Amino acid sequence: MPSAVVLAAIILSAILPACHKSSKAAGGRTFYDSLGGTTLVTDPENFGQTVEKGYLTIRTIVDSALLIIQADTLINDYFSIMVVQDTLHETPTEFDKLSLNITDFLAVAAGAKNFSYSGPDLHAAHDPGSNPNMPARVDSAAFNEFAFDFGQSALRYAGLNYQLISQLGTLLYRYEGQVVQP
Amino acid sequence: MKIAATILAIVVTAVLALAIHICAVTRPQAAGRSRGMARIDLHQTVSPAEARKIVAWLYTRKGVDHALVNPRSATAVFTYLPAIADPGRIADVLRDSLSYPHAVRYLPTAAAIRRSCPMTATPVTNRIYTFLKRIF
Repeated sequence: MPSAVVLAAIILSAILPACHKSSKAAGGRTFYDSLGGTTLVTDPENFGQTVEKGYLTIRTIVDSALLIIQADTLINDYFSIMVVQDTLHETPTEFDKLSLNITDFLAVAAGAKNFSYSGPDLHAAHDPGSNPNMPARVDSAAFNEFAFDFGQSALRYAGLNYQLISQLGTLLYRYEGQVVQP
Repeated sequence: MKIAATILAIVVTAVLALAIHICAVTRPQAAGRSRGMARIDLHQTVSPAEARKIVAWLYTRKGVDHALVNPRSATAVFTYLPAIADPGRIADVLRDSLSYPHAVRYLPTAAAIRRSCPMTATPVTNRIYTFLKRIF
């Protein structure tokens, strides 16, 4: 049942993107604010350090979503680099890099002011014409599954309500055109 | 006069050091501790109850950070602390001691890695920072 509701929330956010073009809601409150904003909280991953609650929520969603995605046979081929063998214990790992880049990207997209995204340009990276490592274009079904897995993660691991999950879906689908190219 | 100037310089330096320390400690932190990810393909039917048992077992392994099992794809996935956990060994023990004789750790081919999500790319500045961090 929760899966069905997540699916509904994600699909709804996908077909009604025009209603939510901006990450800013009424009253200047951003989606980042709704996720906890700039309130500093103890960082469970880094002893003795603090982290913005909004960023921590997004990082929790991303990290858990990456696990869900890796166990999802519909799209885990796109993310096989995360489970590469690390015999030399090099850091950051591929998981670290993917987690950091996606978290930074979503945090900035959600309205975070104290973080920046320094990863690759989304459109160029997913264009087989400019990225020789992309054998084919990403299709809509794969993107839908990606968004669904993020919704599952937000519900199960970050405790987001369906309204916030719908907003997360809206945020993700704002970039569908850059990932799924004609 | 000279003593007063020295004391003033020490106080100013101490205040500056304290200010820098406070900024460093309270500024938002983005980078987390390093974790790797591993995947074990079970190659046999897994019920939801069995999946929960495997997850519980994975959490008993030292260095395992976050684990889940998808019963539909019969896949176990976990993140781990690279300096503590040995995912290859965990996969072997799972296969031999939990009655999953066909379980095997999935390791992507070079071609699969090249095809993977491009969002793992890091800019040159990040690589320089990582390099310097490793040295010092």
